[in-house]
Parts: sequence; structure tokens; C-alpha cells
Amino acid sequence: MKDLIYVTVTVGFFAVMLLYVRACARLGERAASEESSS
Amino acid sequence: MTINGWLQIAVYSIALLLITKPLGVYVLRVYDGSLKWLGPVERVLYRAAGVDPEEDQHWTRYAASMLIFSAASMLLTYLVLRVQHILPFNPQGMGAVPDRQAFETSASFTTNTNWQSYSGETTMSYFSQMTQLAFHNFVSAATGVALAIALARGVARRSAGRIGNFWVDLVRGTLYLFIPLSTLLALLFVQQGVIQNFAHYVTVTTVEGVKQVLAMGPVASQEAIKQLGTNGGGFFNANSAHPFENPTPWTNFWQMFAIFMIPAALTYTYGRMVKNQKHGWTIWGAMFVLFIAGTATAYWAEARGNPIHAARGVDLVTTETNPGGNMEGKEVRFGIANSALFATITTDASCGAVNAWHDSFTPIGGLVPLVNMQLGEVIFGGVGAGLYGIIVMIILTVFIAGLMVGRTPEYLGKKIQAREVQMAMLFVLVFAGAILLTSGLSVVHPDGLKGLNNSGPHGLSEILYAFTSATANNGSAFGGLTGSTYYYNTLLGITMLVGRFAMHVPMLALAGFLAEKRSVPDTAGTFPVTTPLFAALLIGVILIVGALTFFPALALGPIVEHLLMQGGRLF
Repeated sequence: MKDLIYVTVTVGFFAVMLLYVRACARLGERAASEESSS
Repeated sequence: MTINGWLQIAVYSIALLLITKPLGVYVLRVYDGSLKWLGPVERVLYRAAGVDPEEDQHWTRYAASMLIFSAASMLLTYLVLRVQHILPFNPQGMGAVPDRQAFETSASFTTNTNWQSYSGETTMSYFSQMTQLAFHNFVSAATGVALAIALARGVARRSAGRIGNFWVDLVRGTLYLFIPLSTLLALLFVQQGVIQNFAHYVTVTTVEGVKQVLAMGPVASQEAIKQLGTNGGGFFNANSAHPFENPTPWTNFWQMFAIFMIPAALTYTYGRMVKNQKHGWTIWGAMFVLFIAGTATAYWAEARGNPIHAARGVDLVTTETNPGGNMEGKEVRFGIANSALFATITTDASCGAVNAWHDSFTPIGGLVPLVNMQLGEVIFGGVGAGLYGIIVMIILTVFIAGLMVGRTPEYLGKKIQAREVQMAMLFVLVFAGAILLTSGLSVVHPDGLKGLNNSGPHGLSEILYAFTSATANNGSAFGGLTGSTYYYNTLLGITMLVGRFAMHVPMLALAGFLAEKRSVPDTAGTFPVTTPLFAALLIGVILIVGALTFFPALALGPIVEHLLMQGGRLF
């Protein structure tokens, strides 16, 4: 049972990191568009 | 302190200076693709993995490749550790690694932390040591260098938006850099008496007539990459204090040298990549100043010793037959100078190997390793991690310099704007947040306090050190904290993952954003990045960011412990 929890935590962590990549990319795009419009 | 001790530190420093350029040129050739003598092996690996080596990746794809590779290799290691009892190369019949330790260990080695809550000689089979832990020693180190090179490409390239290919960088770093160098180092270690075998453990009778079991194993091969890859996870629990891992002063020198040689060389590689060699040497100089300051402080504190020992009749004066100072937790064959130097180097870098017990250092001596890690391990630093960490600090430095003169900051012809500073700050905040939140939780949580072996400020130092070491992916243990519990194994494992990957992502984003930028010509208002003034400002930013973030915690830990020690109180 605990094996399942640790595996889920690991997979979940890396899934969050992939979403974090997208979030950083969007943050960068927004900042870049604000810079170009200002 | 002795002249002999300072001479050894001087010899080390000169050797480091001399290796920087030749190895830096070699590293450059590894990553620019001009080395081809292992081309057939490379091609087989790319074909087997279905990788197109010609692909130049956007930073998001580079980051995703790195994350997927790390996730898959971590899960594989977890699985192998859980079933090692039914796998080969297990002459001692080691059982399955407990779930909590398997999770922490797989996170630890995947993240280049190599924190160990177990004794290798009583927990890990040879199979686990060689196929999993050693594998991560190579690839986690190669990943670190790959990411630093990717960031360097981001700085160097103009309007490109691409930062290289993660798979190619990983393979080339492993094949051309880490395997050849660690092979040479392993042979040198064997020549000096580091053991390398697959034998059963040996039972011997000591001179006192007591039976003792001597652990065996393929140590030299693990030891070489442990140091070169700034991994630090020892084959034995005593790590580099164990005579089978580090038997002579000569192996000790090479172990310390191996930690810094690639990080130092990378400053030269970086200078060449961004076509500003003087800037590379300026970074080297800033790192060296911080390194010497840390070494001198630790050496002074340990050579001065503990006044409470002196009050109880211990002779702290150095003579030909007495090392003097604080020898508690240190190996006689290394002495105070080489223990203080090793402790400084291993925590300047993200290595974490130890040849002395940091918990037994004086409070100020123990403060140095702690501060080194809290400064972000940018003093030469881990392989790759040191370079990308200091580039982030440079971005903040030029940003602050730009604020001072009221103009948009520039760095090597690139304008530093909102998104670059956002990513740099995210990098800094994740690091500080992970250390302080987890340490704060542990000093109030019953399970956190249960692990302590010392009370008062020393106990706080033990907790703070553990989470600093985990977040910084260092892996050295202060000692004194029982980390082999569900609470610590799980929380430290998660902290290591956050300290590695939640910092890698904004750093790669920074690389991608910089790579997209056009070049702007230098003007009279551009802040020069090759002067002593720049080096001083960079050092100031590193110290101020570290001090503002961690000083309150340090004041309650080692600093107050030092003051109380002067008043005759121990913890």
C-alpha cells in the first residue's frame, strides 16, 4: 500500500513539474507582450 | 593553524587554477560536438532511444525531456531497491530496502543529493550500488552539466530560441566527460589502496582479540564518480572518513580536487561560449574569494578548538606530536587543515562527501558548511549547478546595478527585462522557501523533534542543516539527527525533488528567454562584467541574498551556540 503512495507521489510530483513548465512559459509570454506594448 | 596546513591549501588552490583552462577547453569540445571518438557508441544509444540528435530543442521541450528522464529513472531505482533481495550480486543476502528509504534514496540519487539515511554496507546489495546508485551518480551529474551548458547557450545565442538537445548533452557528458575521468581516478584510488572487489565480507580478529566484520565491495569505481560528479553518497556509512574509501592523504587530495575540477573548468568553458573569456575568469575569481574566506574561517575555528576542552585539561596547542585544536570527529591521518578544507569544498559544491563529522565541528566551524550551502552552492558549486546558480546571481547583480543607475540592465549584450528577473527570483525563492518552511515545520512537529539527539541551538542546527542539505542537493549530514523515520525520509525526499526540479524549470526558462533575445551593442552606460568591481558586487549580492534569507535562523542556531560555548555551555 505504501509503495503505491510513494509511486503516486513521485508521478504526481513530476506531473506538477510539467505543468510548472507550461506556467513559466505563459508567464514569460505575458511579460514579453507587456514589455513590447509598453 | 600551521604553515603546513596553509601550504596544503595553497597547493590545492594552485592545482585548481592550473586545471581550469585545459579541462575547460575539453568540456567545451564535449558539448560543441567536436569530439567524435565515441561517435559509434553515441549513434547506437540515440538509435536505441529513438532520439534525433540533430533536433535543437525549445526550452520547454528540453525541460520536459529532463523531467521525463528523471521521473523514469527514479521510479526504476525505487523498484530495484524494493526487490533487491531477489536480484543477483547480493552475497550478503541484503533484504529489500524499506519503502520510505527506497523513496528517499531514489529521490536522493536522482537529484544528485545522495543523502543517505542508511548504511550502505548493511543495506545495499552490490547490484543496487552498481546498477542504480552508480548509474545516477553518472547521469545526475551529466544532467547538471547539460543544464549549465543549456543556460550558457541561452546567453550566447542571438534570436535563436533554442538551447540544444537534452539527450545529446546527457549522452555526451556521460561518455566523454564522466566515464573517462572517473575511470582514471578509480585506477589511481586502487593504486592507493581503495578496495575494488565483489568478495563476501571478511571476519577478522583484532589486536584486542575481538571478532570484527570488514565490509568489502566495488568501492574505488563508486568513489571516483562520487567525487567527480559531486554526488557524495558513500559506499560506506563513514563516507570518505572510511579507510577503504579514502586511505591516504594523497587520495584525500584527489577526492577534494575531483569535486572542484569540473565546476572550476566550467567557468572557462562559459567564458569561451559567450566569447568573453575575461568574464569567465572574473566569475572564477569571485568564486575563489568566497572559497578562501570559507576555508580560512573553518580552519581558524577548528584550529582554535573548544575553550571548554581547554578548561578540562585538553592540550589545544599544535606541536609535532599533537594536532591541537578540535580533533573531535576528525581522522588523525587528515588532521585539522584537510578536514576543514574538505568540509568547505564539499559544501561549496553540491557534493556532500565528508571526511570528518560536521556535527563535531565547533559552532563556527559547523556554520561554514551550512552557510556555503545556503549561499546556493555557487562557490564553484556542483557540476553544472554551480555555474547555472552563479549565472542566476549575475542576472540579479546586473539588475541591481541597472536599478542603481536607472537604466535597463544588460548582460553580455542582452537586455535583462521583467521575465528574466521573474525567473531568477523564482529560482531564489523556491530555494529559500523549501529550506525555511520544512525546517520550520520540523521544529514544531512532534515527529520532527523526535529525530533530534541534541537540544537547544545545536538541535536547531541539526534540523536546519538537514533541510538545507536536501534542498541544495548537497547530501552531507551534520550528524546527530535520526533521519531514518517515515517523517524525515518522506519530507527530505520531497524537499530534494523540489530543490532540484522546481529550480531547474525557471532556470531553463531563463535560458530560453535569453536565447530569444536580440543582441544590443555595448555603450558607455553598460555595466562591465569583467572588472574587480563587478566581482565585488557579485560577491555582495550572493552574501546579501544569503544573509537576509537565513541570518535569523543561523543566529538562533550556530551563532548563539558559539556565544554560549564561550560561556562554558554545551548542547
